[in-house]
Amino acid sequence: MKSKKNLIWLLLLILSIGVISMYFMRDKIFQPRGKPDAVITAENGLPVFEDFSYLRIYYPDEDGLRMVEKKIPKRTKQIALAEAVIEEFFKGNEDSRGTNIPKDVKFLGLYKDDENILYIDLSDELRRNFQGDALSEYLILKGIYESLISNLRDFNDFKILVDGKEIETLGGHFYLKYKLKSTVITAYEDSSRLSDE
Amino acid sequence: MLQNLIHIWKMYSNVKKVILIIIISLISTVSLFAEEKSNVSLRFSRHENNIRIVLESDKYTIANADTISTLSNIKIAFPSRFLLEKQEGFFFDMMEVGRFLIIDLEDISDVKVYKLSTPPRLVIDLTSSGNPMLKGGQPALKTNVVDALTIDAGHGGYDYGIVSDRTKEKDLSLKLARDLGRALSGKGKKVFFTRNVDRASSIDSRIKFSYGKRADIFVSIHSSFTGKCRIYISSTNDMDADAIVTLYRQSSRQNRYIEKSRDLAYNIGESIKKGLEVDVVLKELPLPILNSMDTPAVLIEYPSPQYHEYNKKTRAAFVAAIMEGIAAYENGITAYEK
Repeated sequence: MKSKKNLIWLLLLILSIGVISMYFMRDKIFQPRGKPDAVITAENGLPVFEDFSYLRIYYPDEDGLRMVEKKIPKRTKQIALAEAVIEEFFKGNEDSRGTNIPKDVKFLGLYKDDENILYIDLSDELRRNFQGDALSEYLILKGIYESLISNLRDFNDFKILVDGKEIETLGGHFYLKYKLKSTVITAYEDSSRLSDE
Repeated sequence: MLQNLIHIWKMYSNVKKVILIIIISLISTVSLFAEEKSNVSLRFSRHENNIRIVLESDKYTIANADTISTLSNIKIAFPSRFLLEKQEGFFFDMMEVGRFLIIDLEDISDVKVYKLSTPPRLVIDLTSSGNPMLKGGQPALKTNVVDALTIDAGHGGYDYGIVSDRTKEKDLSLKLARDLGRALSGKGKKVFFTRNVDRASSIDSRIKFSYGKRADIFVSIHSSFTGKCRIYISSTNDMDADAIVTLYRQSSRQNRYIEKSRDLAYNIGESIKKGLEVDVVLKELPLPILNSMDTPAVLIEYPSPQYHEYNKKTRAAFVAAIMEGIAAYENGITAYEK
């Protein structure tokens, strides 16, 4: 009888330790999701195992952002993942309405500093081909930030460079010379209604 | 006593002992995670135009406190979270965010910050510019008197803004700004333009210019990309947001004027809706030019020329609608009254 009671105590203890460990390790356990390996068929008809991951890209859509999942070949390095996020963002989403994402923006490079800030170097088409009002500009910057932060875990913030240089603004309404988080984070999310596709 | 404890310990089974040890270890681990808060007391004194603010705490907290001061605010980063005891009647607005303390200043012409020991304290000496509103010891917000305005025509120079057909946003915004300025000057108002010719002007230089003018309201004119007229006011800071984000936000000057800005936006919006018969959307957006204004401030986006024709007559109607909105704001009509 006594050993049964002890056994119950022991199980309760293990359970408690498990719950506490999960609490402290939650950041490592709940990493950005990746879907299980998919089986695809190659041209020769034989099944091929290939890894995929899904990116969550936030596109401007009317007065808010629309999250779209994009399937890409799996990339393990965070820098490579960041590159994929930026490329997918600037490809745009055909279903998004009233989007003002500048066309022909070339991805020039990524740099990381000691404070884990990721610098994203884009071509001048970002500024030259932008045609939009204050909300369009805000949603582009917010979309880039949300897309990066929801797929990458190694960076504290992001900063956009144009042709390797820091510029004051993208379209004359918002700063580009500061890090993205301080530019787009606000208490009021009315103007960036997030809706899942 | 010790013998009693040993006796109790021996009475416990091994399993219970293990549980007890684990519980004690967990409790002590949790206490390690808890950040100790330091006590900070704030005192102030005032003599004519000189104000002294003294922040007193322990040696470590004062020695490791970093201060960034401007004429509009003082940001103090303490090494840890703190408990603030404030002397009653302190007249500047303050924000406590995590380990940061932000003091918003008003009508200050000089700021000096230094540290002293015995007792450890941070001393902030301020020189007031002598605004009578501060002399009563209680800064009062301006009433809705609009004697002077700053008008900001968006874009300019190499920055064309939105280009539609043959219209450039920079040109149409300048035309509307000039028309509005002329009409307001005719009514005896003092008008300042951030630009009155076609030239490039950075956001920073517009903010600096407007800050120096200390006008009663700030109106920025831009184009919408849609057929709607949008009127923006600043998004106020999120007090729960990450402290660093809040600290480095462009400015929190607009916080104290946000309700006045909302009233101004509401009144202008109502007038445009009636006068131009277009849809008007009021929105909050963290636009740096609005966030940094120490006066009621709005950014008006007129409907895109692709949806709305702009000639002398329609421009005059637009200007008349804005003026009517400003007049309603002066009369004290608030966004909640109608």
